[in-house]
Amino acid sequence: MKVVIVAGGQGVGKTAVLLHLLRHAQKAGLKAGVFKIDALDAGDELVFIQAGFAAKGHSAKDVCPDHEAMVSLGRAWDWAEDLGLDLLCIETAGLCHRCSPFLKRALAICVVSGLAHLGTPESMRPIVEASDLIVLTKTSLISPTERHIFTAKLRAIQPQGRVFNVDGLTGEGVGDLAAMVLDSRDIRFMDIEPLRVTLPMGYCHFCQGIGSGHER
Amino acid sequence: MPKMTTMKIEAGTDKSGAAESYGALSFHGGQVVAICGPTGSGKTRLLSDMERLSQGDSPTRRKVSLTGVDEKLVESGFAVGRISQTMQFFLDLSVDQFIEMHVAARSANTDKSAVIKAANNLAGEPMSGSQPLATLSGGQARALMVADLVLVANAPVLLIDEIENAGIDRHAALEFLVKENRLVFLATHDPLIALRAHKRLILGEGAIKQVIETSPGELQTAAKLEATEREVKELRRRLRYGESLG
Repeated sequence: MKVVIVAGGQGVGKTAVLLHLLRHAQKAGLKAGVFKIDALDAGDELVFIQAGFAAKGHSAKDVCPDHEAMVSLGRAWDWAEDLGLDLLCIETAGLCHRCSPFLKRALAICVVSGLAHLGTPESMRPIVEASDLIVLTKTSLISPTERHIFTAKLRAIQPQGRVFNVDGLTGEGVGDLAAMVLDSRDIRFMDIEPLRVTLPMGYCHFCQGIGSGHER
Repeated sequence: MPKMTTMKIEAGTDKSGAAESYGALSFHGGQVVAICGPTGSGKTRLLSDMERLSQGDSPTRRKVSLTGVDEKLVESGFAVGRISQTMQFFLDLSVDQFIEMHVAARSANTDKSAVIKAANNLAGEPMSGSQPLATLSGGQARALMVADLVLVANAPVLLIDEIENAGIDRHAALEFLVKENRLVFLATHDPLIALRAHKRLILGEGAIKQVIETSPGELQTAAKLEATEREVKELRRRLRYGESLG
């Protein structure tokens, strides 16, 4: 099974990009699905289900979704395996971006909005730095120069990461991204650990999940 | 001798999936090409194919390739510069900071006052270097995007969507854009801009239907249009200053 982890802030277009990505995967004959981790039970997985894809929403409750992603990997894997998926996409929107939810052997995609502040790539450094592919969304709304400056900032943090300009609404640019995903190698359950980046030394309430009964 | 910038478009399909009829078209540096057709005919789609150098993976399935241009520039995705109608400045920077940051990102050595001067020439109302991008008027913002794309990015291929609606001086813009070995595409509904181009593509139902070279007869029409335009410009000036138009 191919496993892709898609991380990025709230509202940057992760779901829209993934939806187009799944369509490409389907065309290539892959059975693909999304395990979507959100802070609240927002029912966002319905977007995928309505489009005819397998999707499961997982509420992180009081825990940061990025942290929750790490502890619920086994659950995501079991869900995908039961369905016989060829491609499992794990979508997670972290809260503070001090840690990175990426695994050593799964393809890591970081999504950043072109409408964000110029300091955003730096403030999300753990995710940008540890990613394989960077998706810059909403670039059709900004000037080419802003796109260039943004791309330069991202490349400065992750020189090896390819930057893809993707329009989440129309799906423009997803083709190249999909090719990389389809080209990624299959991994086994034992490959889903370890993390690429060590967790931060300090925890906040959201990391620990106050009152939710989560054990750390 | 530097190689000539050449963009080649291989036919794809129209909105119904039927094949386009032209086989392949090539355009070269130094040319200005207008893209015309009714709303919804596929002008913006064509610009997107050109911007992305689509390889048969867009809805039109066209293949677009660019040769005669530094390969590194093509790989970086910035060989083709596009300015669309929906673009705005979002960065919280002054005009000076914006240009400086771009010059640094490109390792270019463009003089920033030259960029502002060119933008002011296009916009009419002058902007200053210390002004925040967010306070620029629509015309000023578009003028700065154009000036910056030409002088700092120095993109070998430029795509501009409906420059007539950008609130900038069209004639000044056309003169500014045209340069030896630069290929310029202008999606337009404006007859004068279309006739100022060397050729024009006519789109319909998502396909390129015709390629028309500007004829000597059409150049005469263009001269007439220019005379009318000067007249309108003068009337506009008088209107603005409270003079009688009778």
